[in-house]
Amino acid sequence: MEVKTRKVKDVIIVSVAGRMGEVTAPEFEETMKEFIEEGDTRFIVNLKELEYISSAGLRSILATAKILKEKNGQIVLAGLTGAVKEVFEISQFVSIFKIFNTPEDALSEI
Amino acid sequence: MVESIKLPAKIEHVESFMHFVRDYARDEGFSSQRIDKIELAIEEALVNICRYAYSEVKGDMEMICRTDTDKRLIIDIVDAGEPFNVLMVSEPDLAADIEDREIGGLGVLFIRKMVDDIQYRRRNNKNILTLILRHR
Repeated sequence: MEVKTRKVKDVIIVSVAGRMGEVTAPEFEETMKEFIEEGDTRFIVNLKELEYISSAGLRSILATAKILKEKNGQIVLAGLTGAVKEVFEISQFVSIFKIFNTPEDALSEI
Repeated sequence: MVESIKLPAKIEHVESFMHFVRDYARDEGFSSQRIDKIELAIEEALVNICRYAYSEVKGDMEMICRTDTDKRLIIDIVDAGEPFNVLMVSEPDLAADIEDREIGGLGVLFIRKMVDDIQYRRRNNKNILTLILRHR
């Protein structure tokens, strides 16, 4: 798994590539925690390059969302495809997160 | 051909099993879309073994892969931990909002949804979970 981040105004765009499973998901959560501790509260998570996600990956995204909710922050998702999209649909995570086609679409909306 | 892998039930070994099942399924001609599903089911099943079946005592987990005469992939996952029947686990509340959404329960849901058939039996003090996938 590779996590890349960039900042556009006050929004952090987090791009996750590769595989997000039991072993790698904590790394994502840790990255997000560091930003939140620095005071960032608005995030776009771009999953376009993500090939695989398990319940551990969903758990780390949900845990981050719960922290942000308390801080009146926001986390939205972009770029869901293939097997990753299917996992989000089965778990009904598609109904608890705002999902955009691209990070650019998300930027203009949040 | 029957192939198997057996290692101590530790999270750090889960990826070895996933590589193993991926190679096996590829050799048997399964598509990459089907292999994605197999891998997800295997990760979730093995993580449950590491976390719950062996929460007290430690032990091994074993995976045995074979195909039947209908070319279906049959995967037995065996552990000697506490009795744990994934078929008895209730589904998480999928309608809950972010605040109320439970962190757990999704793994078992994925196991069920990714495979065509699932069987559990407890025999000789072992949990045997059988996952069955068609080529589609």
